[in-house]
Amino acid sequence: MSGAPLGLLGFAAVLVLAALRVPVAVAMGIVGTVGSVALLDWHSAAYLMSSLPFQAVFPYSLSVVPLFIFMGVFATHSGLSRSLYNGVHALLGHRRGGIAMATVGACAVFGAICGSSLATCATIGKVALPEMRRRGYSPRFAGATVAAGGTLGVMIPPSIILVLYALLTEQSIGALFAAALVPGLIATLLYLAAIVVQVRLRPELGPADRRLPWRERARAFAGTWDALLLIGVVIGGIYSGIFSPTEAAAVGAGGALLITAAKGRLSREALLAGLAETAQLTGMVFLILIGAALFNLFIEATQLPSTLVTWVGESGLSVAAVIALIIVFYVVLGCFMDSLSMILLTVTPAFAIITQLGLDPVWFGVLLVTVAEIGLITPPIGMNLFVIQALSSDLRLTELSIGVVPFILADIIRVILLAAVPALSLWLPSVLGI
Amino acid sequence: MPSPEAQPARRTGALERVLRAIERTTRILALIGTGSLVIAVGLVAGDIVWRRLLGGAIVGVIDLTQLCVMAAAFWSIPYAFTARAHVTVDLLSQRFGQRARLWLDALGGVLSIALMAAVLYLSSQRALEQWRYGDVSQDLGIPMIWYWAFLLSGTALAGVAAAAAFLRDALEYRRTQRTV
Repeated sequence: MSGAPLGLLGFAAVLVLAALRVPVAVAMGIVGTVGSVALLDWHSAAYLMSSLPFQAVFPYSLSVVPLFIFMGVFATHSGLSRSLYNGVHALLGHRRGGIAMATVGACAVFGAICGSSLATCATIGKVALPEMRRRGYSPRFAGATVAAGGTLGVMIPPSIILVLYALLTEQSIGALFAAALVPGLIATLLYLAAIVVQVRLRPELGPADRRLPWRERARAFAGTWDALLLIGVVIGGIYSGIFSPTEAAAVGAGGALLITAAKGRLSREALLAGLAETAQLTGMVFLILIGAALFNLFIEATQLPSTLVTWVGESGLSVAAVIALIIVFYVVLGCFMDSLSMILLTVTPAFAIITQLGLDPVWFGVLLVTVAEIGLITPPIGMNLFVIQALSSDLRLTELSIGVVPFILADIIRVILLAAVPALSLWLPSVLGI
Repeated sequence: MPSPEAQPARRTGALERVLRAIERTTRILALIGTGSLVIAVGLVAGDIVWRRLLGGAIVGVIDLTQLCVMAAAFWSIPYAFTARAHVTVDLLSQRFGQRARLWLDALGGVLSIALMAAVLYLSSQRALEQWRYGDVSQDLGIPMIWYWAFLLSGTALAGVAAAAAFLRDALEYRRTQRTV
């Protein structure tokens, strides 16, 4: 066996090993190493592989990854989530389903600091879930709202997955961040609409809270100044061209550390806990990058990407049909794999097809992350659902899975919108000239 | 002289101490690695301020940032094994019993050690080559072997940490079996 069938066998081997609880990064690395040695002669394979782990970490552009992780971790430790939640709650809490709306709003803003869905879900969940349940919200509705809202962490820039997509496909990180902003806002609006529809149909899901006087609302909102400043400096700096993404990440990481210190939360224990958490995420991401580099060497040696491109060209499928197939493929795969591993495992062949069809890689990156994000709330491997379950142990996974259905419908509408109207993603980068 | 019954307990105690030492080493190195990111943050921020206010630049910021990131990345990988932070899919394994899950963990452990050993062997060839040629970084002339040193030490320790993580699971399994 050689060529494309061997490549497909390689994908199957990774999935089988992952299903057997082998770390996904190790599965990719082992299959990539064994496959490359099998396809190429030992000396060529060894020579090519000898620099891959180094090159998977060394480039300066990759510095952005641990720095954004650092920023997200310390933003979480600083307690910014509490002030953000209080601020949005003061504005929306008096409406029916208002605390759920405030939760989605807080997730969207926190996502602009954090860059990770799981962290957004866990951080906002810790604040919002007890609050919603105390105010008589349905536990299922409350849990589903946080799980769905958490997905905004990966969509709203800065996003670690968007950074990795940009680096692997040699696209501009700034352009991808700009392209993801409008889809991120659309996601927020659609989630808010999903909440409004649900509480209109079943008012008992989310009763209205008392209306706060304007002075209290203003005070609560003013308490979010540090979070808004951090977002403004990081995202504004990238969009305006003042900072490169790496510089923005460094400034953001330093800012998050300073805010944590200013709030009196930077004890020795907190600092060590933050560094240890940064290390866990950094080690996890970089091992996946190394595994993906080895696996992609093997996939390129099988010529699977070019075979797929030829097959798509000869199949007579329309561009829309190919995009629909890719979306369905990722939605199904996202039910079983985490989004980061899934994207790094498959981006090489998918990217080859997209560029061959003449589609915009920046638009595809945003679409890919949107689709991957759906996998975070779809069972059986919906990571955000697990986070919510850990936060409220009396809530069963099946109940949560039913609760997120309206939000998944909102996601499907968004995917259709983004796929049909690329300008939703590409407008802002073109206006900013990135 | 200890009784024959006491010998397995003593062996377990020795293994426990070794595992704890490995786990502590991975944590300390990870903290040093990610702690070095604070240096990178300071350098980059200083460079921005210097550039904006005085129109100059700190020479070697890129070289030093890369060094910090190499430390952060490669010294964090072993700790991620210790903390079980590497991504796994638990869909099938949840249906298995504890004993079967231990076998799966053994498979994961063996493959992790194999991958780390392969990366260590292959990378050491290239690292030695760069050392022999005396390759240095672009701005500050830092010997490239320093960058490789983080990769080699991190990869070696990651293999040890993967083995330790499996042995820790095996110990826990034995302990629960005894309790039952």
